[in-house]
Amino acid sequence: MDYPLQLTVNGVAVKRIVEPQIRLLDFLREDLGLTGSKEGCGTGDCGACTVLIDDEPHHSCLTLAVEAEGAAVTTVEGLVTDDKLNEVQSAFVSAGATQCGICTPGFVVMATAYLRDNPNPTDDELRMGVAGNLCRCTGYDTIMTALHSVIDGKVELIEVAPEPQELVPEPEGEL
Amino acid sequence: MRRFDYAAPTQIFEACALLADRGDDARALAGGTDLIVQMRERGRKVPLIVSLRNLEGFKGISQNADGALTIGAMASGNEVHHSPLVQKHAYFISEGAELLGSIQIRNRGTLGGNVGNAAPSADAAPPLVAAHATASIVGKQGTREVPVGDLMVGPGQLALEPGELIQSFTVPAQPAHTGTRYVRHVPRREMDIAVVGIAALVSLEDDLATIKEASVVLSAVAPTWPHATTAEQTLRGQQISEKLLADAGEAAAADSRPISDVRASAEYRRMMVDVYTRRALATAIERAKTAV
Repeated sequence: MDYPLQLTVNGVAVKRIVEPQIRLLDFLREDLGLTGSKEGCGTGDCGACTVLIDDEPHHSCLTLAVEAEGAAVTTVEGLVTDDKLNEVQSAFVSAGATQCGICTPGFVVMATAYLRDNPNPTDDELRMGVAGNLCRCTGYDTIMTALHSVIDGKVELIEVAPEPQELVPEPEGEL
Repeated sequence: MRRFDYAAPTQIFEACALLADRGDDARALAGGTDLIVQMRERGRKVPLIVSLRNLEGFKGISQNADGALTIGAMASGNEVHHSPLVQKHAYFISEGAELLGSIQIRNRGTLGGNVGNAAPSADAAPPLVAAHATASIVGKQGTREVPVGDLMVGPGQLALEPGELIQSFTVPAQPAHTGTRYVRHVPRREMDIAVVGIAALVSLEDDLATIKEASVVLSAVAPTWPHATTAEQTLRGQQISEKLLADAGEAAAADSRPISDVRASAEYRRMMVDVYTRRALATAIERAKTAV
């Protein structure tokens, strides 16, 4: 049996029919075409799949899509407003805080939520805050540089070319 | 992941009936931080998932008229950790919840799941045992109260019938001058599993120098979360001193039944029980002295 699913993704109301074993990560990437969220470990250890569910960071690899019924989901794509990257995204670009890039979306989403709740953490607190995000390239120094520039209020928001964030359209006659 | 059926009932009796009727073919889903991994990585077959997310009676944290605290089984690790009620009532429950994985894990994983998963190395369950909390168990036959310390019968095993669920935990009001502490030994600070965990609760006499009541519960050094009963007897009614804490640490080490595994040898674990029992008691006593 398949299940009707209604939720909001990056502010857009979405209705789909899903199989219950589909994870939120797969639903976002494959059903909606939002490939920003990445799968690193698939076991909740690396944080690359982090998305916001009702404003709180969760592993989309440990969340069944059907468990997000009624929720507001925000992915790394949804952090861009008015064609500007948010502070954390802009700081990552300015600091070059990325190597292979797989961990970047998860780090950005997690740090955005953490710094929203804790705008002035110590370095130690900040490191604990993002302890659930692993960088396999071990590029932590530039990541910390980027996050400290956010804390210090030294980030200039970066404009990006308008990019239509269109979701894969709903298949005809599903709901 | 294998295909399965899914239900998210809004009524407790419906959830219990589904689980009872399908027996071993059904599992309750709380946060899924363990279950989903088992199903994906280890191919665990679960034909029916019964999600508890819509059961209102399993949510929230509140104080009762008699001063006891009720924590819903579906309260997330972060909800428990950040709750001012929990921190005021029994600080070590907040401390234990803070150690559940990362922030992302604590947003999904629940207190009921930490107990229900029945891992000997659980961090949030031992403080409940030490605080003499009871679990409200719901099933087709109705509700029963079980001390959390009696729930776990072995690794991964709970004393529950098919179709029974942990709905909430009730933590009794603590006497005046009570302090608590949960501390664990891990090789790295974050995202690790306890090598040794100690939950300590100490109530002092009005003189703030004599121990009235003490509760010491062990994690990761026995098949369950046992009280270190000899250590507790050592402490009861005694004047606080360095020697008393040293004696209690030694007694707790003797009370533990650790195994050797990839994380540590039994011998090392026993030594760490001694050290961490002393440390946990010292902090609990300091907190008891300043508690109202």
